[in-house]
Amino acid sequence: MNRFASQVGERIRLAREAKGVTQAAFAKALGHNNHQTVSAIETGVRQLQPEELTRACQILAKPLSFFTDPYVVTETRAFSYRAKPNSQDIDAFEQKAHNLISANRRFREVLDEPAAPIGQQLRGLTRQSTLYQATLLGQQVSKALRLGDAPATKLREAIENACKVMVLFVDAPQSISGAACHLADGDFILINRTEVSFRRHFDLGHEFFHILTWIEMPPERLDPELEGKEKPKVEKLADAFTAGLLMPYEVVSKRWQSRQPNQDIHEAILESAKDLRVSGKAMYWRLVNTSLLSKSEQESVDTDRLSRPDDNDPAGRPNPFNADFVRRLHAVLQRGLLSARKASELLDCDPDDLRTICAAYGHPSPACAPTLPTNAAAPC
Amino acid sequence: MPPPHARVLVDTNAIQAAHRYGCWNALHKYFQLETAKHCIEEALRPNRKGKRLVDRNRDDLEKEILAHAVTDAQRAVLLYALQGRVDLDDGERDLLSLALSIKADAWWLCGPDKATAHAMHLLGIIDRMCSLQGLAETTGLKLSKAEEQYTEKWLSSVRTQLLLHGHLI
Repeated sequence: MNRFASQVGERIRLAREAKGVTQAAFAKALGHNNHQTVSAIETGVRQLQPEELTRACQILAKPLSFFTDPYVVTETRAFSYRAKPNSQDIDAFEQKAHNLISANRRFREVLDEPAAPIGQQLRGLTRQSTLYQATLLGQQVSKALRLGDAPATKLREAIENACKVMVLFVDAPQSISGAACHLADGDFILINRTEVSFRRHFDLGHEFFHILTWIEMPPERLDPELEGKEKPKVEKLADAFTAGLLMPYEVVSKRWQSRQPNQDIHEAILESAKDLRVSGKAMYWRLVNTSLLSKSEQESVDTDRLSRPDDNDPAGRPNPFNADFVRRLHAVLQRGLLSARKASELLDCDPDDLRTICAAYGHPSPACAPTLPTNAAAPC
Repeated sequence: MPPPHARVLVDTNAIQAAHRYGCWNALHKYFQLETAKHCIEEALRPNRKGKRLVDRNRDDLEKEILAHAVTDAQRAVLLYALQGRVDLDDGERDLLSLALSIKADAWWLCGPDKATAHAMHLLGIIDRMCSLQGLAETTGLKLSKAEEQYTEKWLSSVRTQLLLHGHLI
């Protein structure tokens, strides 16, 4: 049985069932006498001939690409997006997420690299849990993953290496922060790399929570960032978990005790926030919730003075996608398994951008479309 | 190399590069250029930065190259033959579908991408592949600054690897 026959067969089954057509009726429409032929097609044992495939498209009212394009994602309920309410960009971003996930899946498949179907789930947390419990669990996870005194700086590496969740940095509209994707062959987190670093860290922690609790508390497709309004309980738990993860009590307490005597309260909060790579407001609320900030100190804080510029991170904005993804991309381009134009369509970039993407991770330029001066032609 | 007036199928990359290098006029006058409708659409579509790499009117361009509509039946023949071993974009897929449906013996194809070369090898038609540089030189133009994938040297190396190893390294 080959991979192509299995893929076509599985999608025939999906389309047939979605349309409510029985195997017997489909067999008859294809010109076969019994349903066992369709059963053999759907399990990839018998391959559809080209003319049968064209006929199947007509019968099941699906484009040819639905059956033949390996990059089509059929699991539509496995994604959760974090975006501003009424974002007009969500559908385009959803397509982008589908393309990247399916590209990674396909690259692994053709390069014979096994997927990571082993996923970890957070124990002891339900919708009935308190926010305090979620924060405590965040702290425990931070400790278990040995994230140290600035957890945000080590979080991505820990999520990828210890938890086998793939984190991809993507260019996305400002209205979208990221997405969590829970699929049979692995978990993915997409983060908008154009956001400021402390925002990215928080988004990463938040999406990590959804991955870790997907089975117990599957998130909604769209997780609206409702500013100042009541959030769904799962989203509150995710925020509380992230606070504990990025700002464990022990770390925050130690940092807060070491502030300069008589230092302006705003400066002290901002310095602590900077050390832990979180926003000024996130640090303020963590200090309030842990009672490290006294009532009188809280009253003296003007939260409008807690905004801060992005960290002057030497690494700057993260490179697009991630090292493993780009290594696989480079390999499939070099081996002629994927064309540059198809790759650029999947990555939502121009063909000549593939050079920059590969170069960012130290790979030589793949042969792809180009950026040369015009009029290179001259008489022989 | 294809003789004068030979049928030469060109993909989006080749159409864009020929315009960029300034050898398009020579090519379309010297050869019978053909392509798939999808390739014309891709060639004329602005890139993601909003730049039109072929700043032409569609009707004018189609006076210089014969653009074929490709059917699902033609595509199914190609996809069945490839068995999912190479992933191409819509234009490249349609151009190869068109190539497989040509009954005549004398035709060539310029598709400067390793995946196209790989697919042509799997289809047993790698000997029909030609480079943009080779085509331009046949018309009397030298593409001295052509990027790697448009050169005769690149094509020769890719073809040799495919013939020797059956795959690209």
